[in-house]
Amino acid sequence: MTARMVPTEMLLQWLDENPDKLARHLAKHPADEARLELSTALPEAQRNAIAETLTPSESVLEALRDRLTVDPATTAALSVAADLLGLGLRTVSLLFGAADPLPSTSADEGDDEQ
Amino acid sequence: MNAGAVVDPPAPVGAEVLDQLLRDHAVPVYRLALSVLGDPVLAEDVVQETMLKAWQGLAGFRGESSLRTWVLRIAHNVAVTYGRKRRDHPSDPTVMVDIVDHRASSDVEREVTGRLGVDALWSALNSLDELSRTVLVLREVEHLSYEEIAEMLSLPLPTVKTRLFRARRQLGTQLGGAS
Repeated sequence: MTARMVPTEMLLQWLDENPDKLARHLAKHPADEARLELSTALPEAQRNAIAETLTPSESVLEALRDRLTVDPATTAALSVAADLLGLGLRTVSLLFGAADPLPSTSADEGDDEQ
Repeated sequence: MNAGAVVDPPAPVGAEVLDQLLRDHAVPVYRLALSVLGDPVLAEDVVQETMLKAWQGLAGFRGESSLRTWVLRIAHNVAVTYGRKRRDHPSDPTVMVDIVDHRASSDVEREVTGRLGVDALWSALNSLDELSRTVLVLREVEHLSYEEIAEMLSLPLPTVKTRLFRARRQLGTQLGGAS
């Protein structure tokens, strides 16, 4: 038995109005997903323009290199000290009932997860 | 260091490794941070913090994902944390409008000629919600697979796809032939 093909216009309508329904449909119909992939693809010029707009200039990169490589150990130590200071302040805030404890800088980042 | 490959954890982790991390990953990290935060100054801070965290955590990197995905995941977490802090302490809401100013002075001429296109592009990007913008950049600029994006952002795979399709459609509609 061959499944009836959903027209692209219908897929786009689901995309706009009912993405959950579309997601369920695409999970079972990879050919429709491929069609939607094609019909929503950005022109290369637009993709390049996005990349170009977001890419840092060489001077920004140079400044970043200077910030980090002059003395990375000191920079890292300062970062840890800032984290500890933040932790201390949050602890004091919690102990003494402050309404708005400082946001965590590292505990919720999961940066060692993979 | 191959930025996209799954690699064994390097040892020892010295300053030269930090330099290598910077060379391989500073640009994608900056682009991701800028797309999340819309603020070039904060994006630089995110790069710095991400590089330090990656450098410090590299010895524990198990190679279960690509190094690039791992670093970008750290960057996303750092950027989201910065965004949360900014929401708690709001500053200038117009910073996104001036985002083009992060570019080098040598690019000024190109900026002026391309200003209309860049402004339209930023307006269109800014109209997307933060998560859709992130998915779009990870896919269209950094060329991550759907599976990598889903893992990185802890999202179901179908959600990543529909977010991307919607973001592309919205962007395409807004930009038309602008760029």
